[in-house]
Amino acid sequence: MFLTSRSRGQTLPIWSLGIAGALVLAFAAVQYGDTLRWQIRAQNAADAAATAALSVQTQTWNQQLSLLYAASLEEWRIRNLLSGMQAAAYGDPGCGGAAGCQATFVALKNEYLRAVARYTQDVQLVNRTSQYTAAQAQADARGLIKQLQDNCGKANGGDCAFAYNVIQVQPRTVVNDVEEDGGAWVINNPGVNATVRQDNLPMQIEIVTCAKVAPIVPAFLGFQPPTFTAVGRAAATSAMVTQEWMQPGVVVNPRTGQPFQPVERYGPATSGSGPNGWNWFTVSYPGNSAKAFPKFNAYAEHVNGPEYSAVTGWWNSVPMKPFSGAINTDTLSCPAA
Amino acid sequence: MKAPRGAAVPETAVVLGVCLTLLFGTFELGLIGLMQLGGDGAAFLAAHTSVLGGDPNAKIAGPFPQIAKNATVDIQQTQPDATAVDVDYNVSQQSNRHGGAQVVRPTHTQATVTAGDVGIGSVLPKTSLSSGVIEANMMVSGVGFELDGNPYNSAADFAKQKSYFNDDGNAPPYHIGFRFLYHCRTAANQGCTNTGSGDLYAAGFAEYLDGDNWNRAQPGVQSGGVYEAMAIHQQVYAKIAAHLWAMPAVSGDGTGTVLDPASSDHCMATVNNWDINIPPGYTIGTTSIGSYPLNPMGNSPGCS
Repeated sequence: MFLTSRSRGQTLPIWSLGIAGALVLAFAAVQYGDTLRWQIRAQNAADAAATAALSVQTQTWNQQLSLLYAASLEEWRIRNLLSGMQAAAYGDPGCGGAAGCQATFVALKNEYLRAVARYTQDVQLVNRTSQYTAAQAQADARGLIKQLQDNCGKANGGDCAFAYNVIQVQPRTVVNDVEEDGGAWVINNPGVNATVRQDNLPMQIEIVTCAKVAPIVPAFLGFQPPTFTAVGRAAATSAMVTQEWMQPGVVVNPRTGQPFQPVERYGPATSGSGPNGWNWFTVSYPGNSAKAFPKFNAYAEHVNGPEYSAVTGWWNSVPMKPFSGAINTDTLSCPAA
Repeated sequence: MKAPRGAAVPETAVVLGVCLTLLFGTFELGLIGLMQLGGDGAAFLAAHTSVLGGDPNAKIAGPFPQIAKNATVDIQQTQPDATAVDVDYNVSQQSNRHGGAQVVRPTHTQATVTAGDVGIGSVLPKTSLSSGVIEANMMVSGVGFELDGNPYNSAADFAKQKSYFNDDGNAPPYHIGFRFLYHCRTAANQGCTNTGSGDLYAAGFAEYLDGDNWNRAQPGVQSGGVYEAMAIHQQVYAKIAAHLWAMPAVSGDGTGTVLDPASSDHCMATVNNWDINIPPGYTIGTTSIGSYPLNPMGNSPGCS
């Protein structure tokens, strides 16, 4: 008889092989998922670090541009106060006689002295913020990355599992030209790249995060899976993320319901005796109407009277494509996770 | 005891059938799981690559060959979250504009990886899998200071958005603008006698940052510095302040005082020389840059 009690034992090897196969597959799936998880974690760490690294340059430029705007408003005020004082000193009929002209002159003079004091302070602050160099921006970017590493796991820190490697920090040299004169301004002067000293160029940084990750199941049936290296690679650059053109004496501040720069009155004289009713004794921030020409990518305006306008913006960092070409990750310092 | 031994065949058949079904089922489930994991990873990589301007299909071919071979990758861009730009630049009136703004905002870039006929189909039915990841793509909206007059958050604005690196505003930090003002034409006991717009000047303010001073040799306000003009202007204004301090009263005739454009201290003349006269009714932009050169660095004849 071929049927013996031994034949009943054939189910055991089938079960064994099947279960072993299923476990191998399950292990492979878990390992694969873990690998993906680490890769995504590494990439997210690199993305966040790259975007954060240039914040010193962008914030310094934001300070500088804000101060320039403040100083230009002050210079506008100074120039108008000078005209007002001229009008008062020369007995303009708008100031209402000798006594009115004297009182107006004194009020405008006092305001002029205050305005020059403020302007002096603005000049000093612009001077200070503009000392920031490309070398400092590079050092600050590297310093911030080191800070992420040193403070990992804490507030303002990075991911402790990874080493943060700065591959390059360098100025981004291909940027558009901006020009102005008394009758036009243009952003992206056609066919002209900007010629810029390095200190005024936006920085770009490239970062690689990496860690050597042990397999999630260290050994299985005598099989030892290899350690793999999770690598994230990211780059970012400083960018003028908000750009604004504004006539602040015309455009209304939604918080106050008044123009951003309302008319300033400093003396008793209020009559307008200048061209088109222009009042020499107030400081206003008027504008002319511009017409948009989308077809020509341009605006035009008839200059019919005084105008104060500014075109400037705010900086932040934005992600960009890594720019350093092929990288040998073997040369990087990657800790065991 | 024959009966128990004789039942081994049907027992084996039943047990083996159940075993193999379970095993194949587990195996197929594992394959589907692996494919789903691969799809998730590929979707992340595709979205990430797409926002950086790369080819998502090419990028996933290396680490996810099965996905690249058997799945489709669809990239879609949808509007960024609505932004509240409370400031009204009058963009709705294209002939009466007084400003505008353009903003870099994160457009939603969604990568969807879809695979059909996943699995072997022996125990479990073949199935379809889908993975999706959304990444932020930093795009310029309101291009040209909202040149088209489209409201923020509108579909028309979304359709016109472009990459920051392809936009005109990809420039170094700049500060420019227009400052037009009247020069007071003084006359004793008459004040400023300007009656028409012929005395309108484009003012050469010291606060500019553009192609004219980006490449200056030094930073700061020192000689040769980016903002040297600011130091020049501050010194002139400060000298005028000193003269004014000693000038407590006015008589209706400012001739000979610091406010006299022809005075011997030359202060007002120096200030006025920073500017350039603009023809009445001049239309901005009708001449090329440099037609009306300002002179903010000028210190002539010099205020004493």
